[in-house]
Amino acid sequence: MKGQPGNRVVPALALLALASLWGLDFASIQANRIVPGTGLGLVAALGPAWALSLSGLLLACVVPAVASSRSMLVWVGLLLAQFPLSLAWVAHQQISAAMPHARVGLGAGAWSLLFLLGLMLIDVQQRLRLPRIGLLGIGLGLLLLVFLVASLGWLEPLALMREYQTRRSQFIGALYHHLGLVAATVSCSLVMGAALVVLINRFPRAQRGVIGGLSVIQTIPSLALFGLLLAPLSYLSSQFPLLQQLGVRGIGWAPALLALIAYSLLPIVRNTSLALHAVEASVIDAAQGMGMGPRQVFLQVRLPLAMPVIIEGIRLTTLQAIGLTAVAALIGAGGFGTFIFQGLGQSAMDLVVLGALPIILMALLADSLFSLLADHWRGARDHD
Amino acid sequence: MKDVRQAAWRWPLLWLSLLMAATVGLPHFEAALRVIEPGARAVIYTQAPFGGLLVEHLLLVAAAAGLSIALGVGAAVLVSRPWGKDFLPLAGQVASIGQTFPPVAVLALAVPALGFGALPTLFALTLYGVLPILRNSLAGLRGIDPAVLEAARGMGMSPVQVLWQVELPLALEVIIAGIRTSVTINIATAALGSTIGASTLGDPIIAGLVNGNTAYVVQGAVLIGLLALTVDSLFEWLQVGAATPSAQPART
Amino acid sequence: MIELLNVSKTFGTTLAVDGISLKVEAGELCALVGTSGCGKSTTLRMINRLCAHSAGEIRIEGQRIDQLDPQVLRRRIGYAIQSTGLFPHWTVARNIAVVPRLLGWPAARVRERVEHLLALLELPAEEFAGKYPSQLSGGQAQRVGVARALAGDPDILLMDEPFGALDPITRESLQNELLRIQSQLHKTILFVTHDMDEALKLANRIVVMEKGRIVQQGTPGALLANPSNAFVENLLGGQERGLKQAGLQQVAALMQPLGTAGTRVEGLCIKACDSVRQAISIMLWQRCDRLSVVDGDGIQVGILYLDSLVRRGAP
Repeated sequence: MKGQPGNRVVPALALLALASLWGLDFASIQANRIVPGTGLGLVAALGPAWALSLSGLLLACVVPAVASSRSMLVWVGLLLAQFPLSLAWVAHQQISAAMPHARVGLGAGAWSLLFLLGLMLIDVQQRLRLPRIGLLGIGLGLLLLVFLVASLGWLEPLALMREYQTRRSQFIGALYHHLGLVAATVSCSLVMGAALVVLINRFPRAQRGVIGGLSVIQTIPSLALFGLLLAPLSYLSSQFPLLQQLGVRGIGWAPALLALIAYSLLPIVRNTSLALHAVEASVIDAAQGMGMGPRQVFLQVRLPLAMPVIIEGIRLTTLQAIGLTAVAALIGAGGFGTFIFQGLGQSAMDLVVLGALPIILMALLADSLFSLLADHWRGARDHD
Repeated sequence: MKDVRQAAWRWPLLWLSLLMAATVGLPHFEAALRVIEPGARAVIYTQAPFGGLLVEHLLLVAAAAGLSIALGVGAAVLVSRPWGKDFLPLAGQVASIGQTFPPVAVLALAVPALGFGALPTLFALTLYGVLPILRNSLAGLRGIDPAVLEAARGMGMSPVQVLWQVELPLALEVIIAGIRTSVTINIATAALGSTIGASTLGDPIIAGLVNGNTAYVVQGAVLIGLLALTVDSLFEWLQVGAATPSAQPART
Repeated sequence: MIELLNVSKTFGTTLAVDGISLKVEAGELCALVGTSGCGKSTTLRMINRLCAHSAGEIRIEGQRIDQLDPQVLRRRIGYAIQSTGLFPHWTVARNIAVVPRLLGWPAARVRERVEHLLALLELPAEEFAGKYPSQLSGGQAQRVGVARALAGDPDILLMDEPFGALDPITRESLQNELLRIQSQLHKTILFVTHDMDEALKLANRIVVMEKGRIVQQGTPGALLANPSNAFVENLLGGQERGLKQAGLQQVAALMQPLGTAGTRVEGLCIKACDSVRQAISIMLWQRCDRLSVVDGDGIQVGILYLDSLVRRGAP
């Protein structure tokens, strides 16, 4: 690291974090669910000692020598780790057992800090050239810490926690619905996508039509597609009692699944057929020349080489499905979207956050896992 | 090549005429719509004229697009200058990671910050719309053959002239593709804005879902679908037109 | 003309150019030769301030370049590089017109200049003016690059291995082009190359660089006759020197002229303006020890004897 120009990103981010911490509310207290909250500045929320030590940690990151060194990873880790602890401390300071309905909400300052810490982490990971799995590890570690602190009951008075506690079974239900719908979507579209790719292979002229048709569907906003499926499905369901028994109705999981599969097909079909065709002719030539039969060439050469791009297609599909499932809550498909729209309807912001946060976390997790998978596949291929 | 260009303008025209026809003509299809929803009192959505909703929807998307382009392209230019290079890796990663967030989550989270109505919708649309544009602008600017930039500097072009006359024109095709992605996503997300109080083409759909009136839903869906197809085919036409015969030479 | 006085360039802790002093006279084609990493490209780029020099002084026509606005300076200097750097989104004509337009020339003058240069570089305007760089072959692209460098009518031309990426046949043809153009225009040219043969062919003066320092400078003949050390000798081709020196000499200088008017020669002969090296090659191939020398019309003007080439005391 000798002779490297100073890192200006981390000091800039740290200064911004300090500004938002001291300038914005760190937390807010609500006497109960309905009453609007009163904001608390940094010192009011955390007390002077904690506030100063937190600021001290951030100030250290502004120092150029620290900002450019490998130890930056430790500093960011510490700052992230103190986050749930700070929240617990606020809860402890501000709420006593005598106020069972009072709750602590995160203020703009806290959210900004979290966001800026995330940016710092990304920058440090890039600069130190850490493998992606490092980011995933740190993220999971933080989640684990949050679970730990929560299980100790220290985060009870947090507004988010209160909402969660009152709806625990609903939350679990939403989780299952959401994951179930995403999993069903991805698996069905994988099967159908594979079939379509085989079709395109057999009839090359069908390619433009298939991809074109799927692209048209992709362009239609999801809300519209859900809406368009309502009428035919409710008609079908009224005509065929068997469908009704299966739970297929105009609203609910049926139109959601159909629309989700329709949206999921394009990334999978396009990526897969592109990848399979893009395998270098010379490699196929060599394989055939060595005496491999068509099935062996496909399974042992073409498919493995195309895998990274195929995985990328599945990654895109999964991310899209997670987001669209949230929208499908509007047509009664369940999932975390229900919390979002319920919260919006009741003007209960913490309910909205309770719905939005898991969705974002799921998306980030899925993204990391698939990227790791793709990297692993690519790496294995390159090192053979 | 000429055939593609000539044919490309036909699609936008087709979708646009269908869109206009639907906007004006849907209320006349009462009989057909009654088939879908025989039980409801009102079959045609009358809370607001379709034309008005269309214009509001377009305004939101256009305003967000304008802001996103300025921010996205601007940020990409700034971080690709010698003095901004420190922030380049961060910008690239943020653009990638940000796109994994589902748009509906960003929209929902805008409400605690900015309340209900058109403002949080615009905010969320802009925020989410910046990402594809930023990503593509970065890719476009970095994909330019360094020899071309060296030649431009060596011939005496000032840094601003190099940016305006060489870098941006060469990156334009990729940037437009990014704008297309951004606008397409935003048309869909703007429809969701109806749930947070903005007035868009999503209104009939939400109203229909809330009241159990399928006819409303179909009307809204048809209009948004046609709008999306029109805008997308317009971009296709734009991209075909912008593609000059000068394919970029591959970097050796 | 260009003057470098004790110029150095440091990149971090590496000394890329170490106190070189060089003078290129007006109208001269000076070649900077050396192996990769010797600092020749860096030296070139310091002259048009694409790279700022760390120490020393660089003057162009007596003016210090660090006192001039860099963009103004660069518009006065033609710059041609190996990968051409042609702007892919502009036609050939628009590419060539870049510097004239930057200088604010009126449109008519620009158009005239573009046509003149296309003709000079033997690229018919009707065919090439509207083409895009991706539609050109390597040789054609490099010609456009040279035309573009000449467009603003600069007195000085900086060329950084412009013919390095071309196949040998195209390279030779472009080298001949350059010699022809130089004989017409008499620009001051600083030409970087790693190919000693190219330098010997094109340059009035050669500057040999190694590890950021100038090892020797002089005319091609002087270098061949007296290389200052083993490195230069090696660069000159070691044992090939004899042939290279012969490549610099014309047959006319070493032939035995005919006393009387000559007649048309049928069969084996060599032109008076060809090089002695070509003559030796023919003699080896044909296993003969003499050749008839003819002029441009095929009329004999003398005889070249193999003996005379190896006799001591010959020029």
